[in-house]
Amino acid sequence: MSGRARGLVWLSSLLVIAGTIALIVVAIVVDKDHPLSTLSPVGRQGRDIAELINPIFIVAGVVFFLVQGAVLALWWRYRVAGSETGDGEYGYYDDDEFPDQTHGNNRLEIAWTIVPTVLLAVISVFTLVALFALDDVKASDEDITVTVIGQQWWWEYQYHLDGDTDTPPDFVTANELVIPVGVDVALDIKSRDVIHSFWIPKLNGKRDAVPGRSHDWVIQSEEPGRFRGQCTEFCGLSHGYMKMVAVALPTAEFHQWKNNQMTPAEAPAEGTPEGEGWATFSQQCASCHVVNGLTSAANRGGAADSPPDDWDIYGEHNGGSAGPVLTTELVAGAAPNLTHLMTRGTFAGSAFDLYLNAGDHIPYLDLAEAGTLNRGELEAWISNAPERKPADADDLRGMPARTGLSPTDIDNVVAFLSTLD
Amino acid sequence: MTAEAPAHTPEHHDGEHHTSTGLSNEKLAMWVFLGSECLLFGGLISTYMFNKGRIGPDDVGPNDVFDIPFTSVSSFVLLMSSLTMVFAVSSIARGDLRGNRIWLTTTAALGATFVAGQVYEFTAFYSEGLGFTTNLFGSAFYALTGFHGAHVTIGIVMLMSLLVMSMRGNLGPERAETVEIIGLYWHFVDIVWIVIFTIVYLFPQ
Amino acid sequence: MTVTDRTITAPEETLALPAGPAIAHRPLGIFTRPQGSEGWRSWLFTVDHKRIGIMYGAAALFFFLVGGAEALFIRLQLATPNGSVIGAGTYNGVFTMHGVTMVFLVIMPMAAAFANYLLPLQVGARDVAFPRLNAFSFWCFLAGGLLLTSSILVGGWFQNAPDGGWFAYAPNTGLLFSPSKGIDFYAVGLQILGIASLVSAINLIVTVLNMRTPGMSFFRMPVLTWMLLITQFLLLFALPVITVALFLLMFDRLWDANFFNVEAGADPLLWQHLFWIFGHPEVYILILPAFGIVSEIIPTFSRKPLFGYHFMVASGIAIGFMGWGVWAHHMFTSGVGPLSVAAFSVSTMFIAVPTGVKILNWLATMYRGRLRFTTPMLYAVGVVSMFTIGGLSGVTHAIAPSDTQQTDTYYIVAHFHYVIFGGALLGLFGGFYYWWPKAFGYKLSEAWGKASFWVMLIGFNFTFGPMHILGLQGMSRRIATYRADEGFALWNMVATIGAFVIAVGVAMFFWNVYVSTRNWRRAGRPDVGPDPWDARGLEWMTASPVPEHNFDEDIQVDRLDHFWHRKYGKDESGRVVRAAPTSEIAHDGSNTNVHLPSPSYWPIVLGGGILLVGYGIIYNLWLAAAGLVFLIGAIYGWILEPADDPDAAGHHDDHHDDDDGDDHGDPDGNGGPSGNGESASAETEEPETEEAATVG
Repeated sequence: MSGRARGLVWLSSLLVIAGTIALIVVAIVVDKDHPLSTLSPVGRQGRDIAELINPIFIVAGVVFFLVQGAVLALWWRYRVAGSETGDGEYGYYDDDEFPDQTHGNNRLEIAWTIVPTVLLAVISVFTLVALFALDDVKASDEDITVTVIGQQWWWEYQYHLDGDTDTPPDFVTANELVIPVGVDVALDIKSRDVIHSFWIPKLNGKRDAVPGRSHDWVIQSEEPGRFRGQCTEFCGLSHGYMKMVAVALPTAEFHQWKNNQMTPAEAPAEGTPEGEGWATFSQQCASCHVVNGLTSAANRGGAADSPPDDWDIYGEHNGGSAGPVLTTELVAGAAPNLTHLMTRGTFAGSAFDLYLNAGDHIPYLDLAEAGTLNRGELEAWISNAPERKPADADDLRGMPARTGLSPTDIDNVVAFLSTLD
Repeated sequence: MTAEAPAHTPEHHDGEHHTSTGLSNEKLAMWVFLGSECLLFGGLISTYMFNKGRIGPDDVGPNDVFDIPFTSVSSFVLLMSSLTMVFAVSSIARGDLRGNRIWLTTTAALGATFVAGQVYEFTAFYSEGLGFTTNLFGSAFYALTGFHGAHVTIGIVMLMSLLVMSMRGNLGPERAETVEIIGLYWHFVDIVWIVIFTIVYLFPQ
Repeated sequence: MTVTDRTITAPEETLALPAGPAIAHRPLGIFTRPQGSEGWRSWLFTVDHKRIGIMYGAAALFFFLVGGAEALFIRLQLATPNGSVIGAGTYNGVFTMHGVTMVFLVIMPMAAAFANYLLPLQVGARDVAFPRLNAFSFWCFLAGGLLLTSSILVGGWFQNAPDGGWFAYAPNTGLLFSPSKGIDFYAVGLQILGIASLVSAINLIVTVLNMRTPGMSFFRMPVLTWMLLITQFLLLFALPVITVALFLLMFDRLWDANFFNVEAGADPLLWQHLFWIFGHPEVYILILPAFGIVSEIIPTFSRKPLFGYHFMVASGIAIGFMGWGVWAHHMFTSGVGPLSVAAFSVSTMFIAVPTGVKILNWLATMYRGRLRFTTPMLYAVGVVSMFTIGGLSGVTHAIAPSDTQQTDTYYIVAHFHYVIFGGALLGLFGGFYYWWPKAFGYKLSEAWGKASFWVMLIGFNFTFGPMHILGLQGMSRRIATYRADEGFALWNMVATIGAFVIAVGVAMFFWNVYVSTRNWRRAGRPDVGPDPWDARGLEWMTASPVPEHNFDEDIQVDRLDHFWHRKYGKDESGRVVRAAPTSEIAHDGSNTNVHLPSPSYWPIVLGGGILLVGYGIIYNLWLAAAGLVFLIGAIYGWILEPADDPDAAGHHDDHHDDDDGDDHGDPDGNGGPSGNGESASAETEEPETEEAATVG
């Protein structure tokens, strides 16, 4: 290769490297506005984590540039040309082509063992302090505790407004976790089937939902807003579609929301499309879905307006055996509580938007009134859910298809669901 | 793969012919293999300890089924087989082929007695309501002791193979090391049983 | 041992003729040993560590294409939001098989290829300690690999592929949640691969510990030998743990046991502990061989000895030990308790220290060297550079609180691809270029090699660099698709384009192999010489390709980099000068009187039996029982196989079994009539060269 060509190769490779680094820097600095970004935390815990890691990112960045710079400098300074074919007896080298044959330097070795050790020791001190501070979830043991239950492939939230998880919850909702701004909300994370992981990146790190275990966690938001989340432990077929949203509301709005959630639904009048829809719903859907005040005791084995009896999923408050009451039937029998479906911005494990115009500009509490229902998606979901979101309904996981329903039936069901606000 | 019968003749060890460590390849391989086996049983014992307490109050547990005196006797039998294995190794090293056969047979017989005891024990436990699928204790117990029983059985097969070799005149003093290597395996299996017996039977809850 | 009974040189024309009295001892027909060193039989029945190494490499490259194709499907599916190239079900199978394939069927066997080919050569041995077992390891590996890969096809495209991720967390892998045969294929396939690796590990450990040529003390072994030895020890102790875990999983699925049955009170964390106690050492099993390869390549093309040899070895050992104390850093969010998290967080951070020592020593080796950026050197320096990135991101998620934000996101995917691809795979590819002339007698094209390197490197950075950003932006791993409004579209598209650039780079590698082979054949197969790079290890001290018996005589090693110091000494003024031409020092492979173990039918038969048992466990236990009977029969066939074929010419044996492989240290291997003069001259030559080397 000629010197000119070599120079070109050098130039182009340097450009590629510099370009890549520049792109990454630009991406990290400018490209912050992502709904799941860990780089722009809003919650107290998320900010604590960011404060811990950001300086370490900088240290790592410095080491990165030192090492890569050293590689390039050594390359530039000590590379030799010639003997390109390397076919001679002495390989690529001339017979007398020798640098100093240094074998090592113990002082240097000890130095570059100790320096990183000290550096890491300092980092580990900060890490441990932050770790134990973050783990101190008792600080949040105030009013609200929410039992978060992962199930293929959605989330259930059981609100214990008095913080007492030993009693039945005050109300149950799904997929959208609503919390008051500025309050540490204790989470009690569980699973009904496989391992899931609860993660709202802007508020806090993730915590696994492990069947048979109960994990304490806490989230808090410094500001009102809606924050996306995603199940982050691979949980089978539709793992990618198992999402959730955390909604932080100012305290007054939170109470308004809470009071509404505790109101049972009312039966629509017979003969109306809503009434027809309710009839269809009670036949087709109510064996799994609960609508407080409507779904009959027979479906759930309890009073119509009582909380689902599977709130106590491990049977630990039921005098049950050591194991949780996790059976194939239960997996099928539990589905999102739909009492106030229309107050949520998303459905089906937050995989789909319930409203077409559900940007942040519509206040959360006004969604049911001001939102334009995402009717097409909802109808498609009701008639053939596995087609919209992969499920394994034959094995009782996920919502089965209801292809037997006529378009009118589906319209009626949607009309009924629209009353659930 | 201990059936890799080593066949070093004495002259191999004479003169210039050495391995770097001084141990023969076969013996070194057995030591290395046993190192790996330690982790296998370590994993199984950990699994047992992790799981044995995770049963409900009404489930069949260790205290419901264990017959300590019986298992103590069968453990003693297995322990004695280590002693007879030592005799088998020393007899072949002296060139006492007849003694070697006797001790090999005795060792195999003691091992078989132990396995028979285990089969009896499993049957008894099963009739008392503890199956492999009954609960976590059952699964963990049968997996651990079953793996050990399988190891003893393989050991017995190897001892019987040695016996057949000896009967056919293929096991002379020049093959003393073969017996020694299988002895290593046998002692290992015995030692593992002592650990299992202590952990599983003597500290049941 | 006497010379006469084993060095009967048979003239070539008597090759196929029975050698008289020996026929009397010949047992039944099937118990004879196969013959011949040509044609496909010579590969199927070989026990030669070099051929086995080459077969490992070829199989690994085949599986690399399979795993690479899976990677491209992943990238196609994720290229755009709401991707629908392959559905979620297929996607789960594809990413699981991609991980399993790349870890168990690509990186590990590639490392095994180098271990098999080079370990005996680097310690100056004739073969591994147990050649037949070595062949068995390979066939067993191939059986496991084919069984696993067949899961893609049986019962429909990805209908029965494992779909629980390579980590197969319980209880998602239980029968209730994963009713297809996929997890059975996973469990059985990995068990079979585990047997193969365990047997191989024992074999190679004994080889290195026991069969070093005289004078080859531990601290005269090349760094690659050291790293491979540490790797084998890690395998030795890690494999039984995953074996236990897989047994528990199989018992649960096949026989209704309760190990991961939460309803019966089981804690799924048991699987995680067992898996990661294996899984984390596994990471070092993947990376240490590449570290060894880099430590061989950089000194050669810096024309300097490796800087800080003892520290390189010690840091490798330190990584090997510390690798056992960090497994729970995969479980920071699993709920193992704050004290465990704290302890594992700290231990994980400090494992960066020995790794950093390695990076700095490589840089110090290059410092003031005469650097020639041949293709192997490019790959080696690529490892130094890319692995550093993976190492640094590794430190950031050793910080447990920040790991709660990073784990199971694409940040982790980026991290371990920088380690496994940027570290292990680039190193192994560098190794292919470096030792290719040793194994095949000709070099791969430098022009194509360099081009392929740059294309791969750039593609690699465009694929996995953006994944750091995606991860920090909150994109989870193992999701089959993502919503359009989550903001992941840009970098996913970049990553997908990058993946196809890598594919082009890989295609260029295969093209290079084809073109270089063709050109070499057209040029009349010129001899590349024993030492085409002017390198340092003993493997360069014999002809290329390496003759079946490796070395014409045992080498008396007197220091680290023995071969180098035979070639070069210092003159009065301390300048390094050539002491002797390579052609005088290196063996030319002319000694044909060396005893070598005969080929054997049984390793491949045993491998076939294992395949039968494997399918039997998955589909029908009667088939498994039949396979077991077959297997036991094969084991006895193995035992009863005669020590050697009495008819084979040239490679004669005495009465003992081949598997003691004890020709090492056997000075009379070359004592036959024809080898006599040559070895004598070589023997007397040695001190002289020594003299020359020191006095000049």
